[in-house]
Amino acid sequence: MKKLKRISGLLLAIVSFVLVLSACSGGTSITDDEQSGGEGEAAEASKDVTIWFHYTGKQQEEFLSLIDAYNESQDQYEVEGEYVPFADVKKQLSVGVAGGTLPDMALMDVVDNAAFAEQGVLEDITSKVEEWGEIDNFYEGPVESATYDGKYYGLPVGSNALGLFYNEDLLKEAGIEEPPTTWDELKEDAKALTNDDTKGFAVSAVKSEEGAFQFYPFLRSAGADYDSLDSEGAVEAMTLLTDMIEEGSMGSDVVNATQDDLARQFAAGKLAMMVNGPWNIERLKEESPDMNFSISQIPKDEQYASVLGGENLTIIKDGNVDGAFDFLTWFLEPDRHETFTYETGVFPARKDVLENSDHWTEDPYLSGFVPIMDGAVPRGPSPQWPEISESIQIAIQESLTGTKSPEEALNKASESVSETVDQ
Amino acid sequence: MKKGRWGEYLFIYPAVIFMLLLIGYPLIYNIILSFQDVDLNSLATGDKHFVWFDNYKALADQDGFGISVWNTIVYTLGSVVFQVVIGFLLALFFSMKFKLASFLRGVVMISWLIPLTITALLYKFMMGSGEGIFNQMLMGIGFIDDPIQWLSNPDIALWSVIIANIWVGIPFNMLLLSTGLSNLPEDVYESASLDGANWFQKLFKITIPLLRPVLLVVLMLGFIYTFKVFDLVFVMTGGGPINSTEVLSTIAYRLSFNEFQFSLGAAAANILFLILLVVSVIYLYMINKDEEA
Repeated sequence: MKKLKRISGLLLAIVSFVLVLSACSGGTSITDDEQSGGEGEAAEASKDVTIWFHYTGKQQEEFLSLIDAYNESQDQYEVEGEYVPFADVKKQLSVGVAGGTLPDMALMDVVDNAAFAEQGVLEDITSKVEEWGEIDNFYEGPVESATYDGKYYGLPVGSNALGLFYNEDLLKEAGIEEPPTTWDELKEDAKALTNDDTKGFAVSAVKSEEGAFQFYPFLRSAGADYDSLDSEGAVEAMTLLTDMIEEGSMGSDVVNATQDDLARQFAAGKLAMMVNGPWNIERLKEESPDMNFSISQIPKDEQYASVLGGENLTIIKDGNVDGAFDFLTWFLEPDRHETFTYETGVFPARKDVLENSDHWTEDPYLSGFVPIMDGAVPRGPSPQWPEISESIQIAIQESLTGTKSPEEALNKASESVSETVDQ
Repeated sequence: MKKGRWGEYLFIYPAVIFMLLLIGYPLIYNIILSFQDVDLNSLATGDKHFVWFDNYKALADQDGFGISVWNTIVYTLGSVVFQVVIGFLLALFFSMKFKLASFLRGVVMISWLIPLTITALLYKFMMGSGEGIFNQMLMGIGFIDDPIQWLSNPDIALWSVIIANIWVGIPFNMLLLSTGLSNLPEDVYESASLDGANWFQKLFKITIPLLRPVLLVVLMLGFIYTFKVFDLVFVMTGGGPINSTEVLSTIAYRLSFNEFQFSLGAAAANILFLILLVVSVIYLYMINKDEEA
């Protein structure tokens, strides 16, 4: 009996480990086997092209129907789209690298492109892009996000940026005619708009990429960047947000609020102004059809600045590179690109599309973003962005919760960023 | 039963092979991974070299690692203690045979049946500092004057997550303890009554000692289940504000899948495993001693 107990003891110990694994798996695990779904990878490399994408809703519909259209338009390649939830993209790609079950193409957040390029996952498509000769028709910022070390590792397929959403009704009630354009006006107006039910202003300062994303426009507006976090401008930007929390015109909850949370509060009339992106416009119209809101530039310190979001389509190393590139250029042809981006409420990555179309300039909401897109810059780009971003996130949270002063928090972040970059 | 027939062991081979493949392999892989220097690049090229304990050293220097260990322990002990105590009191309550007792016990189970991510979102709403129902109620009855920053104050956030987790865990504890209670022999209580024992004496001298094995199981399961927490923390706070709710599992996830430092992530997961292993061994030792006594 004793022996049996010992065995059962061992088993119990093992079982407890499985429980750990199920919660968090360090790196790779058996899940590799689960996703050999994209088989068409090596065997028939000449024909099949698999794409992992995280589009949902309307974007997914449009994307899949374009894939169908592409497949019907020619017989050389057969493209297949596979949905991977946004939250799992990085995990799935890492697991795919370990298990050798990568797709031929992957859609990714602009900010991750450099990191995956640096890690050797992506194909260098510089020569193909140059041969194609269309790259000058794209906006600089989005293209920059797809480059690493001066080479192209993907192409932008849709862009967005952050702007100031404001509730016109609430502004009118408070006697404010024009939305704030400078930091001083922002502070003043936010204070005037704050009452028992409503907060004047909010940014998302949550501990994730969203927090760093939302802080970036303020950082850039003050002339600072991720590699100058200890500069005067950076401190001013952080001080602005910290002051607004102290004055009560921004809720201290912002350290735990995602961009989605902000949109929800804004739709409920609990928030008069917020920093957010164009992907929320449709939702706001739907949830609060009676509310009058508009979009303007995020108030500035030295210059208007915004941060670029969006997606790049990348080509995976050693996959069906020719097929993937063929689809990519087909997908990015001006007419198609215009329809896809407009229908899905984002901005084109191509200058020639935006310049030759009325879609964006005539839309009452999206038009607010047209000037913003001009000054939108990518984060980094840096292959170490995830670590840099985390240092920024911590600094934001330390300062906004009053744990550290803006200077202290940023000095610490500046040190850890330079450590990361020097590595 | 006759001992020593190897043929009888044949029956456990499928299970053993299954476990070796599905559990043993990742376990060992993870341990090896934590001694190597692996990122996406080396995963693709297969050029992994051993750095032995460098990862563990780097992990110890990692901002937020120390606090994540501490948070995991506080979170686990805080949750388990309250879950067991409240669960036990509820089990005692429902063991009184009144009308609707079993119906109400079923209703209490609901909080255990809700998917954890949904619970996490609900608590995130309810603990909002302005519009959250927690603050509205507490202010309504005049218990507090200013709203509590449940999830945005670094000093409070961990306890807010613990409160949510206690709520989640109570029904499970109650159910196990209820079953244990209903299996206790009634005659012991009858003779105790004859000897004039009061309710508290019965509780501490009879019920709790007799329930010891069940309590051990409940504590053990609660510990394992709580120690590896991930979804609740990830959804409610994402480890913030600052590092105040960072736990071992969230830091392992972040290192692996956000920063691609798989070896560091594996090291963090192994430390989590190691602590659970120690606890499991202690539990087995106690169970053994119990049965031998």
